Amino acid sequence: MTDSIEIIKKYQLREPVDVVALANDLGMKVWTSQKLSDEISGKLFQDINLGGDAGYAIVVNGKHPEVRRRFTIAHEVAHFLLHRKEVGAGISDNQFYRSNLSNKQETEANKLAADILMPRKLINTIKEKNYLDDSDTKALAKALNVSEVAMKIRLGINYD
Amino acid sequence: MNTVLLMWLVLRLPAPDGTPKLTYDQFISISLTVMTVILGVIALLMAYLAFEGKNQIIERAMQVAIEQFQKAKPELFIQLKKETEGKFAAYIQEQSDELYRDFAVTKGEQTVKFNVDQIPDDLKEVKK
Repeated sequence: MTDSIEIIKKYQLREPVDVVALANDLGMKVWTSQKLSDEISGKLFQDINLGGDAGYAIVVNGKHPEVRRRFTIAHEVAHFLLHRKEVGAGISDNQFYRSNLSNKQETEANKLAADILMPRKLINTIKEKNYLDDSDTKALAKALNVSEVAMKIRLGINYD
Repeated sequence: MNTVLLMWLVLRLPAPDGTPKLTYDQFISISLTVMTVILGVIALLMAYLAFEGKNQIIERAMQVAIEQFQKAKPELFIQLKKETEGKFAAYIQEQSDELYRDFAVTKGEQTVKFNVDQIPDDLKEVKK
């Protein structure tokens, strides 16, 4: 896990976090498909041929917007890091980022995914470099290639 | 008219001793009540049908207006359609991005079971 944290940190030095390269570095290949049904955001599964060095592959729904796909990849990376034993042969996450794992595990994966894509340190660096503050959610979201809503949630700002 | 005649036969048939079941006033009162209820139901039904018909007319009028606009200004129509769809797509994106909030995953009981057979056959690798 320590090694994994170091790998994650390596990709959090500059914005936006290259989540595909991160997944590759952790031993997963990332695939996209137009044929996943709309309610499926992504899958994480073991496959000798499709998987990376660790034998795992991530498939994301190609019909979803980029910021959504990036979050899905980060979410599956989080499952890989936190719940590999429980994942077994594989899991599918639906549009609510729910799978046959427990709610607690899904929440953990979501929190880690947000930490991967929007690290506090990098947010502060962007703010200092561009003379921004927490209210500049649009610019911050654009810099990190996440949705503005996601950024507001990350910063604890009311997004309604 | 048939209803009134039927009621007349049923209600005014004399008992075996020859006395009528209802007086004339009672018969008129019951008949009027029954007729009022029937007319009320018919009126409600007609009002409902008129409302539905009006909606259909409005819908059709809008459809015709859109078609006419498309014919008259095809380029503007395509541009507007794209803009509208873009806005809608952006809205959907915003909505879906909210889903990672903690509470979203603690609500509901939906689960999707993994099935390796469901791996799609159009996979394209995402490069760094």
